[in-house]
Amino acid sequence: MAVAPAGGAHLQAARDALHTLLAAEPVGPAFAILRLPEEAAALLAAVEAALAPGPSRSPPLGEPEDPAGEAGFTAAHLAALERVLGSASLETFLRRRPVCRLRPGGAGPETEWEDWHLALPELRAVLLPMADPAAAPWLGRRLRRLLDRRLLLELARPEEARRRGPIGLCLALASLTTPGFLRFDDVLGAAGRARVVLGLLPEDMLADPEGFAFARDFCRARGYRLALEGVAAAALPLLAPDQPGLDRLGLDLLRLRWSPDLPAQGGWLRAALPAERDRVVVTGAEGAAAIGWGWEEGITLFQGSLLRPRG
Amino acid sequence: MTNEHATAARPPPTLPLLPAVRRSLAEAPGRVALRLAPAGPLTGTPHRRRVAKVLLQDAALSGGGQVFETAAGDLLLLGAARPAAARAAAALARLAGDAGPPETWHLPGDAAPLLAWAETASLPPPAPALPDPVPGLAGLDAALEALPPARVLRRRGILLHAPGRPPLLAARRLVFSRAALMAELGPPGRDPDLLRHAEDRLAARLARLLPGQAPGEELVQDPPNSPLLLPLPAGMRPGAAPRAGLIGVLPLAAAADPAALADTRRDLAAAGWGLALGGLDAAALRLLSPGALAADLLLLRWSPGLAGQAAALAGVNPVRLVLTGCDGPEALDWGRAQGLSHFAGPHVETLLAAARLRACPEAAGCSQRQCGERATATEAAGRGFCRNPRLLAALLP
Repeated sequence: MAVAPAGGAHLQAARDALHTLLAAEPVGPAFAILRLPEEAAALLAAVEAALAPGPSRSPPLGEPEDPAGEAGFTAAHLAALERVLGSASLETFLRRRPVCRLRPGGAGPETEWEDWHLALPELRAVLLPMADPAAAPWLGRRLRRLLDRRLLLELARPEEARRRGPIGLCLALASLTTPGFLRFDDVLGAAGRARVVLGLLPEDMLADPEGFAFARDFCRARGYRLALEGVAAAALPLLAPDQPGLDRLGLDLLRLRWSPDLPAQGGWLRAALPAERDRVVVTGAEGAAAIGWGWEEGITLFQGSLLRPRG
Repeated sequence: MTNEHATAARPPPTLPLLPAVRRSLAEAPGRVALRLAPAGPLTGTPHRRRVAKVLLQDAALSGGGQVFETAAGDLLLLGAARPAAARAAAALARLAGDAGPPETWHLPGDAAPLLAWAETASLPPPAPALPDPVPGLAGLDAALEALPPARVLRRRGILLHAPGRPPLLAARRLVFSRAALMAELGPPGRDPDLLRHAEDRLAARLARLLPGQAPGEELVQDPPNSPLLLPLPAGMRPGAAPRAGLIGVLPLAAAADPAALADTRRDLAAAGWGLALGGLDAAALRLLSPGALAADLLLLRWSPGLAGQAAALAGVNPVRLVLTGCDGPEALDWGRAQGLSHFAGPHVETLLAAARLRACPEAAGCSQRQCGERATATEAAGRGFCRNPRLLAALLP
């Protein structure tokens, strides 16, 4: 990596030299010239990628990391998990992650709400290390419904509900009309519901568009805020192609999954993001590049392990 | 599954009601509690119970307070404002008929009897945490492995009806019959996710029984290399297409990860397959832009609700669309008005059967319905009574 003033001859000379050296390489450009500070986020992303060669993409909420080896998932695995999960206490697998407001030049991250979930990878490691629900997506969905029920059960304890601040939950579409959810809804009361962000997955929306519309309208009528969860940038042209995209979907928030290649996407992505940037959360923001890119795009809500809220 | 931490089961605890009652007494003087006793006219059956609970919840919504169901089966509205509680009590009394109004405690005056009752009441243990246990779940995969796909597969026609040309059977489609699959699977078939899992596993087996490779040939009986749509299993790339014209169908949910879908489509194309996405319907068109769906074909499910969604199709080349589920001439009329020319569904099967009967010299004694059923069968036995199997299998009736 070299840094030089814009318009100088050094970079051009270096680029020519690299071209000569790499002329035999059949694949795309081995280097890029980035303008600073405009393309600082792209530079940060490149540096972070170089420093941490492992995959930096975080899995969507509620889904496991890709297993290193070949792990299957059968109906027998699911039946065994259901037997255990039906009775075991899952309190130790409850996790929360803050979603923070972080402004450029601001004082530091401030928690807007906390995402609650059951740590499926850890549960899996304890219960059934050789099985991977990702190998059988529909069995995985049923497992997700079960975990949702357990999560809602934990969160619906009235004394818990009173103690908690604003929360975010990513739930399966089918979970939103279950008795467990209605009980949770009842315990929350109207004021509590207004402090809950419900995240719905795009794959659930596409798998059952009509069911999505029904559950969405019900949840909105109850006063929840609704988010589209774990959205890949590449899915934006499909889901929110016009500026009022979120309004058309009937949702309040877009939770955009960070990926190091976002800064390189340029104008189309900027145009595809909701104009009210306050309605965008960058999730999996594990590095400075994610925050830098978010700021360049006017986004100030982030979720990621880097964020340590004040106080 | 022998881990001790995981199997150390704890019975779910019941919660005492008394703390909630005390809080309510402290927080809301001048309020009311209503109680419906167990096994009464409004609590005796689950259905009446739900109705009674909704009425109490409505009162809590407008008048404050909270509704509890005790372990013994009482329904309690606690801490509601008097007017809302009185309205609920009157409504419940009307429903309960002769049994009269619910027990009413005015607070704080009636605190003593309320507290005395609450001493002994507890909230039930939380509802069972499982989706209801499904008998046969553990053996589902083995049952699927033993199930011949032909028992639950149906072959359907796709009609090409372009303006100014006679209708033509342009392609075939293999689909799973949900009804047949549910009948084969028993209880697991009643869970929507398990049903989709079954389809997925069977699609994986189908990919190994492809037409052109014995013994899959019998599933289709089409002229060689005529276009054929068949379900693809999630996450599995079929091998090199054994013949031309194969198009794999993935559910719309596959489009949630466009990068993975693009990889799949590229791999399929390299192996000689086309890609179709199923599951697009009127509700989906209200949510997404079909023009951004990266697939060779889009299967659009007909419903009268599509009529209001024509504008959403503006960005899609009609050649990429197949209107499925056409149940009458109005579906075809609507599709043609949008520039579509490919149609499938029961109405198309009826048209095809009628065309076959007109063309068939052996048709004496055959009804249109029989001809239609034989044409959709993928088991040889299902076509056995046809005396003209060549015409039954032909793409040009």
